[in-house]
Amino acid sequence: MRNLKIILLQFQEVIEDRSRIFVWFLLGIITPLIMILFWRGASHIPGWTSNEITSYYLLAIIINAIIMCQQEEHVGTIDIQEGGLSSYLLKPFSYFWLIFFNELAYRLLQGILGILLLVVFVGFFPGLFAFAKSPDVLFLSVIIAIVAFLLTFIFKMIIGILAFWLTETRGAFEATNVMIVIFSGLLMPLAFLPSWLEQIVSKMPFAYMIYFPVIAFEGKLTVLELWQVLFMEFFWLGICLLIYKKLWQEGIKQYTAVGQ
Amino acid sequence: MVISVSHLSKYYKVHQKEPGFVGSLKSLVSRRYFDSKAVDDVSFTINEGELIGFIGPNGAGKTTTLKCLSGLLYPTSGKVDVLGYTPFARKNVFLKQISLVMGQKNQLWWDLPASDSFLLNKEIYEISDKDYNQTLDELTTLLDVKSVLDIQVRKLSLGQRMKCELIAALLHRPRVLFLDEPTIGLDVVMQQKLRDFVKEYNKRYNATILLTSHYMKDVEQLCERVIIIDHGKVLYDGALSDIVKKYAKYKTISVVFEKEIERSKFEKLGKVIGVEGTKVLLSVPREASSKVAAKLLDTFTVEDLNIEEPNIEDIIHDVFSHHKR
Repeated sequence: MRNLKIILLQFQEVIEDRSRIFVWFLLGIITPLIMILFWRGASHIPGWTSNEITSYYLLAIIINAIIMCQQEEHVGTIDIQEGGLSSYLLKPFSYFWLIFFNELAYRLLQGILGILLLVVFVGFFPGLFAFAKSPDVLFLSVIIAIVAFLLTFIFKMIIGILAFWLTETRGAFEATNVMIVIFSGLLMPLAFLPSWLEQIVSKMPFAYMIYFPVIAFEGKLTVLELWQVLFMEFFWLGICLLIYKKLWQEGIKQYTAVGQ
Repeated sequence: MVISVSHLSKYYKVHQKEPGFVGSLKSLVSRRYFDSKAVDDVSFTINEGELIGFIGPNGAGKTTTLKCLSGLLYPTSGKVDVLGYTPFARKNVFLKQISLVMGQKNQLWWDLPASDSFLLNKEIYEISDKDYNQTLDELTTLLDVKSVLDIQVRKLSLGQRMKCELIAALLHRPRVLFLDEPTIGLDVVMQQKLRDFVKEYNKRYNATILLTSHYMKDVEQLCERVIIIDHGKVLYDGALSDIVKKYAKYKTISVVFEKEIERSKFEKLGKVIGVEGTKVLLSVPREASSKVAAKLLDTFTVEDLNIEEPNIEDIIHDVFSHHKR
């Protein structure tokens, strides 16, 4: 009887956070699904040699390290829920920019490490890397990567400030990370997805965080396509900025500065 | 007038859950919320250079009020004006003139020495080199922390850290300072040092200071005027000395007789609150206290006699418990 009561109380704790229940369920079924898609696709992907696939993953690791901002947990948990935001709000300097500069410092450090890693890879396996040769393409790829960084930053800011409304943020953060892992191309090149799914996913903002920057550096896109990627990046950047502004305006009124 | 608050209210939305497993299942489907009134129709004004004590029990609404005044919280209703600005707009010109120091939390970088956090604030508040050096020198001397500025903050003691927090909050010389429990967790010596410092800062810069504290000593030593708040409402706003007059209707006379005396002989002079051998404690109306004392001295042979004001802490405790009823 005593154990049953304790079990029921544990249930209560779990039920309290509704979003988490859903996300853990989703997490469980998603990995096997992806594996099926991957192995079905991997056997016959026109236009992808095994070298290109290898260098795709190596580049994805590096680009992910440099571009993918990770501030949402800090913003959501430490700042908004535990009240750390208060000391920023009291300062005559924008919170957004302070976090941006902080994240920029992180990404630059990661970038240095990433580039060192790249140099080591290329040194050891010179033949393995498929890399864009034309300076035009390289230049545009760098621009695409920078805008991708801005995009992930704003996107993660939006996810972070959802904590103004959510009392339990873990669910939302996990869900976002799952979406990013799958739809940004981190798990596999989006070209490996069934073409109807690829069509949809390549219009979503996630694809512009990792996938397109990576294949741009790989030299798999024409100059025209590169411009199209840039256009889409700016489109999503604009949308995300608008959403962020609106959410911040409303959210800051909800802020309770607890724990302070 | 530096601060003006009129009919300020701040409600928090709180999710209510019935206890037990069935309650949990219910909350999975639909959740009930109610408003918790942290601050409920509060009004007051504060003039430049005043040092005011804001007192009340836990959850009375003190901190919430300070947070509304410093622009952290969006008021549910009412009007707040600090230095001519609406705090919640958090304009830079406004933020550069205020500071809020909260006892438990910190703005200092944990892994770097305090001096690095000070430098960050110097840039954020756009303080000139000259002002920065002068203020930093004054503050570190006043607080006696010159030697610890280059030590990693996590290695500092609570007292040292609190002092560094204060310096970080005061580098831009705020005209209005909100102190929330500045002495919490500090030892008696450190509390006294901090009090002296707050008084000195108030005098030196003619700064307006609003301070909350659980320690009546903080308030007694620093503040001429107090605002007492409970359940989100202002119970008293006025001179600290007037609280005694207003709420303490009685004084205590403690008298030691030469030899034990029959109770009936002094019983009619006042309410007997204690008899201990030759020592007797009488509670008498304030205005009658000197008359009663004279009578005691006239009638009996007295070894010692004291007229005591009741403890201010007790009076305030009385005020709160009256309010509850």
